[in-house]
Amino acid sequence: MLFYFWNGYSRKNCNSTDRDTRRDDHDDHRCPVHPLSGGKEEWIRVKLEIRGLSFNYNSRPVLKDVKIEVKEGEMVSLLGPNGSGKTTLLRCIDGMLKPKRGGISIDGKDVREMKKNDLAKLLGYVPQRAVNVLPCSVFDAVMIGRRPYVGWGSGKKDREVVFEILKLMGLEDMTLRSFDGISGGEMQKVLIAKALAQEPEILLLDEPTSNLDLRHQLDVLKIIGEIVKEEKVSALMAMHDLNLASRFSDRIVLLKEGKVYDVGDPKSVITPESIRSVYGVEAIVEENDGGRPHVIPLRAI
Amino acid sequence: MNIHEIKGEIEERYAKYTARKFGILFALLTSLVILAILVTPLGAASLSIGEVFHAIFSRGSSRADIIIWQLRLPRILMAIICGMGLALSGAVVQGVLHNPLASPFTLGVSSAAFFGGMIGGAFGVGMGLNVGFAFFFGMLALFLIYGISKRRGMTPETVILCGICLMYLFLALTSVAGMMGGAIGMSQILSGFLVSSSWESVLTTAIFLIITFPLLMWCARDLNAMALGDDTATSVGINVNRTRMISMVLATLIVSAIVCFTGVIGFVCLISPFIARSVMGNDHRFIFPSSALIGALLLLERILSQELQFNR
Repeated sequence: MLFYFWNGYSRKNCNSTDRDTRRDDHDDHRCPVHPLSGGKEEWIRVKLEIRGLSFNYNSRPVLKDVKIEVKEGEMVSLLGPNGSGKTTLLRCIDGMLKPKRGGISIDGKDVREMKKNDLAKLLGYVPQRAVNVLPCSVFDAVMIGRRPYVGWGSGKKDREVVFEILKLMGLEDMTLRSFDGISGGEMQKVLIAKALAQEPEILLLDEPTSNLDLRHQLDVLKIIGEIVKEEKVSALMAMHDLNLASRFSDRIVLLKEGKVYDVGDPKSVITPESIRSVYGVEAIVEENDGGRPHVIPLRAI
Repeated sequence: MNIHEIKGEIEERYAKYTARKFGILFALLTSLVILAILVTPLGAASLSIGEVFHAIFSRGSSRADIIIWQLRLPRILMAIICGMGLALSGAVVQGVLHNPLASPFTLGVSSAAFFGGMIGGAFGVGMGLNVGFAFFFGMLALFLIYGISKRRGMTPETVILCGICLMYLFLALTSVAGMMGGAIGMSQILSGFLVSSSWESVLTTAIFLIITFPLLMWCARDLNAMALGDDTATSVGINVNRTRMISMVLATLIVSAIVCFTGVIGFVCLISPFIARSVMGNDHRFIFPSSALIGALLLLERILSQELQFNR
């Protein structure tokens, strides 16, 4: 059932020519072949590239020379304690903050040279929480994600896309409910649905599970994982829960005081040593049912 | 249940939901027309409905014709335009500031604009200059409030308190200027005056309303997105600051044009968007027209109750 809807939502029928030409244009922009990688990943393109990014709030440096690459169809988690620059990094990528130094490029194109509207078609941003002083209906909130595509009104195609995404996210029962009449978890799902309605190639998520209960956490991350794999969307998400990040992401970027402390697959990054150094917490790292690391925190150092 | 059925059901419910909103808009429009027809025969000189219709369509020089064309029609049209414009600008200001208590009246914009209009009037050049001065002072008040609230991170309630301070400041200035010039009394300043409307004022304000309304409707969608937070709006490609600026300038423009002719009419711009929100939800594309219609209805209703009170 899910698959049906995902096919329906498939972007093949939506400016596919545009997308294909872009792909051809930048065929040369592939990730460098690592001599030791088994040759399996070597032709996966780099989708999002962050080079030497630095950002200051007033004179306080928040990001220092951050380098991250996110490949196509890859789910990358940004981990790090509060104030390590996760949210700032996401906001820099989406153009809400102007970085002091360094560059961000998507498919080899610098985002600063793109129009806001075109960038909004590539990047779907999910904020930590929504302001809702004057709440609209859930349907209208998701429809906001179609704004880069439509002019003044909303066409039939936009409504179709929104209906399908609402179904996919399991929000169909609350379509017409007011945005402030739903739970925090449902609100989070609506924000993700809004980002999906943008039909983005990259999803930026700022702590997508922070307001959710156990079941919704797994549910939301599973949906994001499926979108990433089936639609070849790349996802970069700031996370607080080490175990969820370890279970669901392909790679992990560990930030410490605005610098990249370590990058790699969950097994190599989530270790007792790195947790002690970055979080200042004594922890045991075991293996979960999927062979991924599982953290049991013991005490703050 | 079949997937198609579920989807069809959502679509159907959404269609109904939208149809209901259009239905309310239509009902508001109809009641506006009916109320306008009901109000026209009322006034100091008692005219029958038949006389009124005859006067409207024949436009001769009889007593009834003159009363209708020179007194009643301008006043009724002015009430409609003025109610629409003020209510619309109230809805815009609330949407931009995310503050359901905000309105040109409670932020002091109306009284600042009125003060400006009076200063402009003192030069005696013409209505264009009046509106220009009113606009300048209105923007000044709005930016003062907006700037302070941004810089100090004020809560919505504090913003309104500051606005009310500004409102009284400008009302005081206006009354001083008014007393020195001897032009108008304080009671008129505070309650607004629709009685002395002329065709000139109707036309001028109508032009401002006709220009600004479509532009504001064009901003409505972006304001919807901004209601979910600036981050969300920016991420779908909206230039948040530009949209905010455009809609505030347009809202102040309507208010200034209206205030120059009618004085400060307070309640419409605060109450109409409120009523509109309670029946329409918070979609600005529907709030703007419905709020405008409700504003016009409220002012017409005010004329109606005045006439019923004094002339029966």
